[in-house]
Amino acid sequence: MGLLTEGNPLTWNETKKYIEHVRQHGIIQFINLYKRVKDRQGDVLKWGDEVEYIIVKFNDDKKEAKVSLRAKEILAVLNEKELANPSDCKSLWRPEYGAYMIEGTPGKPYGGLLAHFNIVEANMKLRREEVSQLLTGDERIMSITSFPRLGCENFTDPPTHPNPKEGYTQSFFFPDDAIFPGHPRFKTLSRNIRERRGEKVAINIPVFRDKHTVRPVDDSFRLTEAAAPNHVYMDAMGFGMGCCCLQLTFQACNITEARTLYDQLTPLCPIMLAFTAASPVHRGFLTDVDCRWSIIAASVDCRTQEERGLKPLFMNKFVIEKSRYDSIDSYLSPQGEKFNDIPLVYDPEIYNQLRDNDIDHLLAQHIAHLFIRDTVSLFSEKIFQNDEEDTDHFENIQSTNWQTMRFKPPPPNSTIGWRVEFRPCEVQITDFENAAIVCFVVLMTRVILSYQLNFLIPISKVDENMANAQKRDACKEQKFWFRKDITTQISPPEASEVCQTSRNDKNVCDSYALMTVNEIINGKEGEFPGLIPLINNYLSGMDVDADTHCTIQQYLKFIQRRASGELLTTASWIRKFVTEHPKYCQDSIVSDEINYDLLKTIDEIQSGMKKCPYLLGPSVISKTRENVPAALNTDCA
Amino acid sequence: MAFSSDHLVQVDNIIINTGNILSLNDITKKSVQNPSEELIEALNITIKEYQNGHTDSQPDQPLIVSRPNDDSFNKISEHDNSDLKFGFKIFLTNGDPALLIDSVEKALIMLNVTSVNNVIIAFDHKKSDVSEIKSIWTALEAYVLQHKINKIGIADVEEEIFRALYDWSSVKPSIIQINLSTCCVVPPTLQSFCKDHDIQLLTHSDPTDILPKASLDVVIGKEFFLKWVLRFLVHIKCRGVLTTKGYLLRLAK
Repeated sequence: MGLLTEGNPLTWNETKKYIEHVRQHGIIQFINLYKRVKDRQGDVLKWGDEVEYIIVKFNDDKKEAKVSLRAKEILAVLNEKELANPSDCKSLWRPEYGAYMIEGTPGKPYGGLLAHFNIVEANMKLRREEVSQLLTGDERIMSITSFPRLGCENFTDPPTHPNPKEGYTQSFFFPDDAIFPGHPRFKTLSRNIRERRGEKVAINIPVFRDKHTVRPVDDSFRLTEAAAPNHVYMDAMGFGMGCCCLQLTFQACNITEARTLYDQLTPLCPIMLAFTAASPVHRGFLTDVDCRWSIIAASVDCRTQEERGLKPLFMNKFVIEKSRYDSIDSYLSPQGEKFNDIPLVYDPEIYNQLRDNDIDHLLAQHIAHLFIRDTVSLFSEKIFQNDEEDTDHFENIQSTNWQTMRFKPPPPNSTIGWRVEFRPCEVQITDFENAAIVCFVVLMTRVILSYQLNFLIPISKVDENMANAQKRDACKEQKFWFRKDITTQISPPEASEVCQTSRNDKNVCDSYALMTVNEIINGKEGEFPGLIPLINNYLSGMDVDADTHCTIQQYLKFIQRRASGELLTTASWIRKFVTEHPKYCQDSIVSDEINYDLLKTIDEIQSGMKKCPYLLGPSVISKTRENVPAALNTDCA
Repeated sequence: MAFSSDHLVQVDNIIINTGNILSLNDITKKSVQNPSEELIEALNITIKEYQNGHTDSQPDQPLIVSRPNDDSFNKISEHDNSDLKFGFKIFLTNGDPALLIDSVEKALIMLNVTSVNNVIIAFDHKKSDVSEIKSIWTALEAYVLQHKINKIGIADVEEEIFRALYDWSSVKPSIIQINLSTCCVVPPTLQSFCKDHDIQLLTHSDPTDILPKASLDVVIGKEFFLKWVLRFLVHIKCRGVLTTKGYLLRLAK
């Protein structure tokens, strides 16, 4: 997320008056932008990661850990440094949803040299240090996907209190004061989503049923009918958007390459979600899911009952399958078209308008589909715009479609090209892990382009995988649809096989099969080469400097071990920690003390004070360094 | 998968060009981790494709074995040459500069380029003294002076020999290539020598003998011996994309 423009947010009733205005002008702005940038060519590889953090405050005497609501204060200092020295800062800091969260990115994007892979981790460390210097002695910056006791009594410092009767969220558990107060966007979104929906969001996550787990898990069912039995019930945007994730964005050389990468990375989303699973505990309960994904999806689900298909359509136009935060619904490249097998909801008028302006079918349906959503955040200063120059209305809708992948046109009047954002990953405890995952995904994009690989499977199968990816221990236990024959070259004299895909599981030409994460990452003899062997083969044809290659090897070995099950996912490790804690009563409850010990241990692992072979294996020492060596820099000026 | 032997009776010399192996599905699918195996696989495919559509060879000329379906020319012409980075690694079987010149010339013609960005040489046995490298290096230097090669380098030499080469040469090595298995334990003295002289310290995963005689015997026949192997790599600059990779080699009776 870029620097947020400040301004005066409209109430939901005021915003409603401009819904069609934003939609119409957003489409016109996209058309105008598209005309200017569609032929843009020759952009080099640039990429960057985004890591979100939670500031945790420990009370060692009481054995308590809480989220510290000081993000605004800390960000003010960090942003001051940026403003004073905009061209030469090593990191950039942005607010996130929680008043206890911050998001950090490298100061400048990384470039097209392999040596850049060797500076990612160093930059992550530097970011952590930069924030650490602004913390009090009992505070820590932690890259954890979910704060285990978010929404429990007294989970914030200073203490705050939820108010179910009034305010933005009206949650039983999540106070408005835990929402980032420095910018009106976050509270406004919370309120508008709730008001648009016509009721509070309802997140019900099945509890992990242990020996002494009490059911129902608590009194939520007495508070509201929305609370499902045997589930952990949550009722605020903060439970989802208050989670952290690990994202990355890369620039493609042109729109065609951007479409290719958008599509080719889509089948990897559920695999990487399962691989990075890191959030098994919510609102103080051990749950039966390992990932944040479905929680965030439900936490911003602004669909009305009509749109969710619970009531016949009367006020609304469409029944919509998914929340505005969810997996993508269509591929964008011509190769992907035949795998678009789920119905795509959109307004035919908008689609036709895009088609009339020479936007192809695939992109037109993608944009029209994004624009079934209403604006849920509008600022009075931004209502009337110059559609030739501005893109705020387009961005308004685009940036509140929080999907697994994001297809990003070049911003107006900038040197930035077409970009693709990869958004499924959960954030890991250590910089080593996060750097490994980021480098792995970027390397995969280079392998896909070099070997022209094809990972496409029907998009309905990707969705099936997304559901499975979030299950407990999915990385080890689940199987995922994955393409077997990933080569695309036509090998004469054999003609290329044209695959018929269908919605049922039987596939005419058998191009995809069920595989484990291990088989996908490490390969399966005689059937699938494996993503890591492909990366290694690619690297053998690249000029890689020794330090960088050493680092990449450490990362890839780590990924291989975790995929094979030799190492635990973060989620499995957290489960293990909780269930083996001496104070755990086999009742699925993560008490204040367990929470404290867990976060203390995470902090020790992160800082290197404590080794954690279950999670990280024998070595997490890379050769990461702050800068690219001079001898290598000349290659790609 | 041997060459049909009647084919080779009158042939003394063979040049094999695998073309772009990134487009060979069988190689991608197997994702062979060892460059020797990859080369042998590529040779088998090349010979098979060649035999399916070859024309008769001329007496007294080397037999040129290539794949009718090679797409390397198309792959390269998709881009402006200035956006591409061409690199060769030449695996030499002895210190005769004629072999080096032969390999470079053949590769330049085959890729239809007048110059390449870097050339790295490797020998099939360890060199114990810099004197064994000098005549080859002089031939490489000549290419640099003619602007046919931009940077030159060498693989798998001891640090002392590398330093001696650096001191002796008039065109200094810009690259030293070391085996991937040692990339985490590079001697600090070599690290700092490279840093001080702007030398790229790069990795490779090639065995010392990239095409063992025993494997060659199976692919071609016992009567042929390897002169040199040249691996060509074409990258798209600043994008981390490899667009063409292949092998060119000369065999003789």
